[in-house]
Amino acid sequence: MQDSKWQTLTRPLIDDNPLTLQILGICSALAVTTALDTALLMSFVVVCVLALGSGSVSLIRNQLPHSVRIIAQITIIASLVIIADQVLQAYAFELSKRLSVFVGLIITNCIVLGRAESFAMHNRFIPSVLDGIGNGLGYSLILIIVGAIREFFGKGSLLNVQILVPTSQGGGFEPLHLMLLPPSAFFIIGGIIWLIRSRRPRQVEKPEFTLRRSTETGE
Amino acid sequence: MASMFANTQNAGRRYQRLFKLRLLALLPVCIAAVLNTGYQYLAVLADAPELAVDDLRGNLASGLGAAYEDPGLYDMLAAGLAHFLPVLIVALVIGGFWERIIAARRQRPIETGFILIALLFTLMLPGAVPFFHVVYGMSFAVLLGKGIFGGDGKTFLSPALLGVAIVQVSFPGAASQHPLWQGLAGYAGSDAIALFNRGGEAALSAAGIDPWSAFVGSVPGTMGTTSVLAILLGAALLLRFRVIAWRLLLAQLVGVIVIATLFNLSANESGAAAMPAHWHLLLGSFAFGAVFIACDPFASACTNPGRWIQGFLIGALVVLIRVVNSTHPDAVVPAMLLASILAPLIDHAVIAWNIRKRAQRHV
Repeated sequence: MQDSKWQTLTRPLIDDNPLTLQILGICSALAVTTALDTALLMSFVVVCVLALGSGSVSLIRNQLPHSVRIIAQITIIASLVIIADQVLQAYAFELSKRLSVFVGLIITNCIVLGRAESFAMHNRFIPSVLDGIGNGLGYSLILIIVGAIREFFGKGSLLNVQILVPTSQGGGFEPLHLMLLPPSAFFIIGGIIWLIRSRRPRQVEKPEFTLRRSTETGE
Repeated sequence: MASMFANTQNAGRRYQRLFKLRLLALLPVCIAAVLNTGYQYLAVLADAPELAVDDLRGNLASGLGAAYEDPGLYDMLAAGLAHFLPVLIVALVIGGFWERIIAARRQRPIETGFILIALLFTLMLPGAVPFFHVVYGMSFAVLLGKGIFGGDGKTFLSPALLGVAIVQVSFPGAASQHPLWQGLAGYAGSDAIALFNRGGEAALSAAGIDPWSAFVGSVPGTMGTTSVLAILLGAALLLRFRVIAWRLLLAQLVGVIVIATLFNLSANESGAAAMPAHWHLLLGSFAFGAVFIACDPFASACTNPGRWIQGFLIGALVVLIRVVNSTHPDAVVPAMLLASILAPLIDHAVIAWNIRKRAQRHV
């Protein structure tokens, strides 16, 4: 059954989210979400790269020899990422310094190559672009939620606007240092996955094996 | 060692026995904790009466009549209880609250494990811990440490240890904010170790810490972890009734002694590396952690060679982190967390090795 274009765009938001259902792109989600502004910028770049990458791969899919397709896909993605990186360095130098290597590492983000390989290679241009945007937005949604939670509880601010006054400046808010460390993103993403799966039990995986009922009777 | 006990009535009885023994073993530690906390509190007040703060615990201590001039046993007891009991009660209430919610959602009876978790958690905190931190750490301990893994006996980390670790990393600077307890005991455990790292044995004796006082436990530190004597009493009980594995305990001692001696031999001057093994065993919360946390029957290796390996690993890691990483002067929490995580892997390797050995015997 062919999905409609609207479904192609919206399914990756919750129902087929690359981060919470496919557990892809976790590394960058841990690294860039200490603050909301870096999360937003990263989201924007990933959406652009995904849309353009999937679109370009889709355009040349019929000319690509099967045996070299991965190399071609990676070349396209890498070129796009390098362009994005250069643009960021030119127009948002401070933020790009804080994102450091993680813009460059979008090349290795499994979501980008995964969508090119599994969707854009088999679909026309428009659906491929929509699929790229949809997956990028699904990734962005989680990134923004995690970034907002981490910045709010870790520093008491959102987008660098101080909302709660920390105790060091005489306020009543005690910053959670934990939120600025990568493990907190694991906790938060885990919590989001749990929340989504308890709402949509269809996403819950089947257990790989089940324990037999105990037959122990005495010591 | 996840499901050591099958879900039968008999196993339930065995679990209850284990639980009661572990609580009983903590009794001497609790008494020592109360007395030493009171003693330390009054000692600071006697030095600097202006540091008395107008909070719940300070008022409780003075309300119970704890006088800092020439304190007697009653004064220490009252001041200690005023600090120990509120923390414990908050921990118990929060633990019970989450336990009740979990039990209601899973339609199962309430498990008693949270009592033990609350007690261990309280004993590993300094006396001036803010109540919010207790609420926060205890919630993590019961929900993430125990609840999501299926409850008592199915945990792979010690939940109390997880709670302490979470509080430590979340509020690294918090312990030094309280004016009265400044420099006494941070979450990072023992300042006595930090003292030694800076000034060697001379700094310790200047602060009035000698091996005997560290053994009895009249040194500053987190509430329950200072008295090696009380911990040994608890350990004797646990060993007598075979609740904890002697191999695991002994291996930890061996690990500390071997690695500390190696560092001593390589150290050319005073500093962290020069700390002799007996100070490693006496100071900080190593003794407490070794007996009550690392030997948690559900969070440690369950094969005999695995116990030797895990124990040695803990001892070695504690000394290594203490010497190399000055931000963790105590090092017990990270070392034991790491070793707990590795325990299933160690067991797996030991069992695989055993299978191979036996297969070779019967070609």
